[in-house]
Amino acid sequence: MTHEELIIKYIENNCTKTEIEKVAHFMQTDQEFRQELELHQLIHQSLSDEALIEPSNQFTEQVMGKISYKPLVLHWYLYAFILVIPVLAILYTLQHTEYKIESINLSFSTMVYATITIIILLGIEIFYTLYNHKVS
Amino acid sequence: MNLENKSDEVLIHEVLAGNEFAYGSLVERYKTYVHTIVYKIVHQPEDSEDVAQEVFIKVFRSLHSFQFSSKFSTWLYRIATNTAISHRRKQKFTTSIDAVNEQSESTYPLKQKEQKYFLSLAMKQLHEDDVVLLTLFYLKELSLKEIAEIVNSNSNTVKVKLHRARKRLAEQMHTLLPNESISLL
Repeated sequence: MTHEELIIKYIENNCTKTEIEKVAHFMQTDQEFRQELELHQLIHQSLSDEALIEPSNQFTEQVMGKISYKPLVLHWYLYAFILVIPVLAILYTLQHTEYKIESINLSFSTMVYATITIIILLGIEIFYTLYNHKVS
Repeated sequence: MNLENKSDEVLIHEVLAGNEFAYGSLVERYKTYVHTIVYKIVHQPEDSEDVAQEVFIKVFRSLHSFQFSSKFSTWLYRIATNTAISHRRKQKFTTSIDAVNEQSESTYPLKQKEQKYFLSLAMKQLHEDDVVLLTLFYLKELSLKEIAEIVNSNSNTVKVKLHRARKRLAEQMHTLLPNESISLL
């Protein structure tokens, strides 16, 4: 066994009683051996003592923010709601022209109620879509 | 049961079932170890946190491919070492001596500070394989068998390589420090 192997065995606490005695002997008689042992002990001790390195406090939050990102997808009926308003407006306008559709008779108040209802539904839908996006 | 008390396996199943919050518990559980591994391999304090985050994002995206045959931590540390190694390869070591000094200054008293300083310099000179083995071994979290799994090797080879890594580290320390200085540290 080389001196180096003996030293590593010693710092890893794997030496037999005879080997420990050998180490003690070399420590007293061989300066080169002593220096080598001291160096290995220094390395072993320093690496063993090294503390774990904590990341920043926002680490988990940042990771979760990155993995949770999803593009905002609006539901098809959101677009349908938006389309209904111009369709109603067109139909209402047509009533006062020669292209009037006989079966459809929209009063102004019906138009207003329909528009308000649609805007409320649209608001609810947008709120839930954005809320769910934020939570996920 | 709180997410914190659940085993890794249970949390992984929950993540795969769509509960992303369960992944937060896994990140919380392993962030310090992953960050330490990355920090020691990358040797760039300013990059280590980004690289550690990249590790967790990679793990999340490939969680469906995790085979429950090994421990989650072993798999995670393997991804952490591989990611850190490729980051290390991508860039030259530009960390100045001052940066190393600064790092040790705040944490350790004078004698230890010098030890850490020279050790950091010596570690920087080592090949990445040696750095990985020494880092994983001195985390004290892992057995030789687990280290072997992480580096795709077997326990005996890891043992031999660890001996060699320590030897090379000692040689680097010799080049940095004259013999008389070692006794003083």
